[in-house]
Amino acid sequence: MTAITYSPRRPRFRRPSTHRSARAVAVALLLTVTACGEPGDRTRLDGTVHIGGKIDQPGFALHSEHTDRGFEVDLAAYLGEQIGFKSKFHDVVSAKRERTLIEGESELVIATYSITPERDETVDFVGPYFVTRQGFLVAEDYQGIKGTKDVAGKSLCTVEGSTSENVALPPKTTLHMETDYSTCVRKVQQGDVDAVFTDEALLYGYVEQHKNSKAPLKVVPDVSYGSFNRYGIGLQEGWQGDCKKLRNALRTYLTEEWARDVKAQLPALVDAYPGTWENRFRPDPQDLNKYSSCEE
Amino acid sequence: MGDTDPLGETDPRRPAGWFRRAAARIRSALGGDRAQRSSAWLRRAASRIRDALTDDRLLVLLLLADLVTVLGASAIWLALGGDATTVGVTAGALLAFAAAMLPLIRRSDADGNRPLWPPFVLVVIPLAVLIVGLPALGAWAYLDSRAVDVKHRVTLAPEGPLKNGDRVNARVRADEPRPRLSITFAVTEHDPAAPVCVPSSELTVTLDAGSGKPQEQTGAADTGFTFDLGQGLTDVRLTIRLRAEQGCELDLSVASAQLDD
Repeated sequence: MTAITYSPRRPRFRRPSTHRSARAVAVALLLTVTACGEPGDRTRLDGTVHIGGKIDQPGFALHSEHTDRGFEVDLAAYLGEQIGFKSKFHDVVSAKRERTLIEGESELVIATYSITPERDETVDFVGPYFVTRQGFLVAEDYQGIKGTKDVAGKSLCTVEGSTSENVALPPKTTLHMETDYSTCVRKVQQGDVDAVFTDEALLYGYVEQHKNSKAPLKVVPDVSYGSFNRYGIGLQEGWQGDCKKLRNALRTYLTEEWARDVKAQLPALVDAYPGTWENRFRPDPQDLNKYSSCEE
Repeated sequence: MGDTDPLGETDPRRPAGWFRRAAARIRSALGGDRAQRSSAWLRRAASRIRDALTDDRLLVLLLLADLVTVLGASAIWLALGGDATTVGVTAGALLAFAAAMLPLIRRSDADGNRPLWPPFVLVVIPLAVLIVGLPALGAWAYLDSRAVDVKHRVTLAPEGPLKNGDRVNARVRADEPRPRLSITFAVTEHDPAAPVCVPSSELTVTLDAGSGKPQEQTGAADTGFTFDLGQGLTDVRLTIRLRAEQGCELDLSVASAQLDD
């Protein structure tokens, strides 16, 4: 909110007519600003809500045959039901997620969007709704990476603007940057790179997608670099009311719907960690207060 | 004032001209009427004390009061950390001054008039000690009860980003020892572009006491830790151990540190 400072009692110059006009303008501006209300009182979450998402991430958000499907699509639908909006996804690449919110092109970003302090400077987050380590996706018959030491000297692919871009990898490792993961996956299948390096949960979507293809894939078990990523819902700064609505709805979602949606959309992940997948990937609902940007 | 001087009321052997001139200048500087009124008030007070001191027992009591006040104030001053030499010299000078009044109090002039000011001095000494000492004691008590900010006296080693399990040694040097240390650390992401780590991190802080059992406390990154230091500890040493998730790199600094009671 813009603060207007006005001091009508002690004008520096005695120009009565001008002074009166200035006072009137200032009062009008003050009334206008007051009439707008606090940002927290207003909402952008009604009617159709434009959500910046991914279109090429199987398991999380995949646009195919005029249909969006995936865990994040289910999550958006649940939030829409709870809060009262209709979600409409549109594609946003990783590097432009902040910009689409700041410029108002999207009301929300739900796009495997990791909460980081740097991003939190420019946008608000509600989350996490998913926790994941960062791992390696390789061809199913690839044996080059069996432990963390084997990563040194390998050729890896990740997406620009992702947190994996900044992870300190072993010496002589080559990191190829692409604009989307589908390109990275294709490069692995073609043998152009050894592995795709990004969030493990995301990689299991590609395992599922390609399990019946000529070039099936696998996630290297128990090999991880970098820190845990926590996916949050991005929204423009200053919409505290919307932030709290989303946080409350997400809290219910984590306890009531999360497991069912993961089973439906990410079966390869569930199969990879039988009995422990919920503990590994589901955030504690109490963490919503720690990681969300909503002010109390 | 006639031929009076500061110690004897009418002593013709002492040159009184310089005193009269000085008194006149002071009166002039202060405003003649006001100075005259003050002077008259002091003379009346001194007269009352002189008249009351006809009994030797009262004189003894007054000397005793001087002694108790001066020695008591000196003992408190010394106990609060005053320099022994300064305290001793001050107390000795005051007591010697009081003792020097005794022969003057006993002396009378040719008309049998006893001196006006020496008995008054015996009352002024304890009053002056109390007037100066009590506010000083109050000010000291106030300053002593305030928490001492030692944030900038905390040194952390080694510096640099910390990972899970890393330890940092903190040292707090205190000029004014207090029995309790309250310290809060600030933990921040070393790389703001990396996934957020601070909310899931914990610190375990151990007070490495010289004697006795080490005190250990664990809490989230922004937790305030409070340790009992005992008496007189001026070199406080802490060990901070970080628990963080895999891959996290965090910076540690001191958000606040206070010594208090």
